[in-house]
Amino acid sequence: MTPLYVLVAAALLVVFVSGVGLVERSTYVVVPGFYGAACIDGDVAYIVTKGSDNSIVYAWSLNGTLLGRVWVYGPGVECLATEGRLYVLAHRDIYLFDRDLRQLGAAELKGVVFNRSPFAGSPHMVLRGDRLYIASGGDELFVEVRDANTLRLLDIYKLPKGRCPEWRFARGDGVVAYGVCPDGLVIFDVERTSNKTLPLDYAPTCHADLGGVTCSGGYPQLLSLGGRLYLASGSTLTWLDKNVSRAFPGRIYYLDTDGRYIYMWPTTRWQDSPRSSTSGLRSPWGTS
Amino acid sequence: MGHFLDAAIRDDVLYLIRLSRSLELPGYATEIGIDVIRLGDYSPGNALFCYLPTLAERIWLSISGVVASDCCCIFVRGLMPGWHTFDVVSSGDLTKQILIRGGMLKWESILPKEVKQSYVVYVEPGRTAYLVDVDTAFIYLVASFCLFMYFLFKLATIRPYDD
Repeated sequence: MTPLYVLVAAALLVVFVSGVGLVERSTYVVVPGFYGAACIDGDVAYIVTKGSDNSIVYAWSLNGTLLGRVWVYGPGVECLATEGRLYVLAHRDIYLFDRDLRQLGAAELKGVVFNRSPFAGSPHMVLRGDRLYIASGGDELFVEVRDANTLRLLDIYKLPKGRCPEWRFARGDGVVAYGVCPDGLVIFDVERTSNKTLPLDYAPTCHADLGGVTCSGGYPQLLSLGGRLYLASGSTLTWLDKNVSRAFPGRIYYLDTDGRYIYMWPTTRWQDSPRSSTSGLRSPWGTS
Repeated sequence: MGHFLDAAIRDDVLYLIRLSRSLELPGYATEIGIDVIRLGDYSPGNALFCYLPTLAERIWLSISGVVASDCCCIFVRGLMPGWHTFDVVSSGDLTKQILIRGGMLKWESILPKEVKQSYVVYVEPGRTAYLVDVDTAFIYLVASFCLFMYFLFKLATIRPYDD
């Protein structure tokens, strides 16, 4: 089965009307203030509300019960929850909590982290084993490698800045940071400490302010899977190494994988409510 | 539905986080919706769709409105598992059109006019779904022909009284 066929063979998956991918349950929670970030670990959802000075992290069970809350200093940008641990990334700090929101650690970042776009986008931090990787910006751009248990700084990589407003991580299984720069997409493989620049079909103009980094046409999404890179830029999904691409109706908001398939979330127009569907593409190397 | 905010995939579950609505309480509040979606097997399936029309029309076949084929069978590979709509699109009764026009029609100039039949078919992951149907009028024609032949046979086998 050729990769082109794999891409072309994919069709829209209507999750909510098909027999697969049914919504098992929905929970609604109300939090005071503005939404900042959310993450889920098992049956607990953590919602970070964004304040200018401080932020509050709420823990909700997925049956709608408030389990607790905790304050963090600075605007909460992102969170990551796994195996009973919660990482909260604020503007200049990283926090570690346990499942009951007891603080286990905190550290000041070497750089700063801009707010994420209100509509997802790629993350600023990824967890691989016992290492937490954080892409931070500011005057200088870094990838910080921290101990996932203590938040101790283990290593730091200085990124080529150019005029890239910020860096983010590709979703998936690798540790790949990328930035949208005027001369294209700059990709930095942290594990191999190699970087490359790819021209983008369109030249998005990105700018950073207090509200975060915004790009015309949306921030491109990168996915790393089995050593291969997939780029969702605008409405096109491209397998970068083979230059195989496929266009979808609408802009791609979200790109992720479970190791078998590539899932994406398209919408017909920027800030439209995305259609009630995800698209599934079969992974070219079969099941993992 | 609400605006998409974020999503996360853990094992076989997709957690979908969306902005449900904003509430103007004393102060400001946000309602967040969290959908738990069990992911499935998305191995593409195939579909074989056949439809036998009557003689007085031209038909096209389509699956989920995207694939079209002239009469009378279509085989589609790589369909996402789930429900798909199979349509039979008809040119309408050509006899009427011929009578109105007063002459024969060019085959190429006959255009699709109406969706004659729609079927909703479930395509299982990695398997082939089959759907075969015929026009009701075709069944009547065949039934009439069988009945006619039966009476013809009976007529031939009736023996007069041997008085």
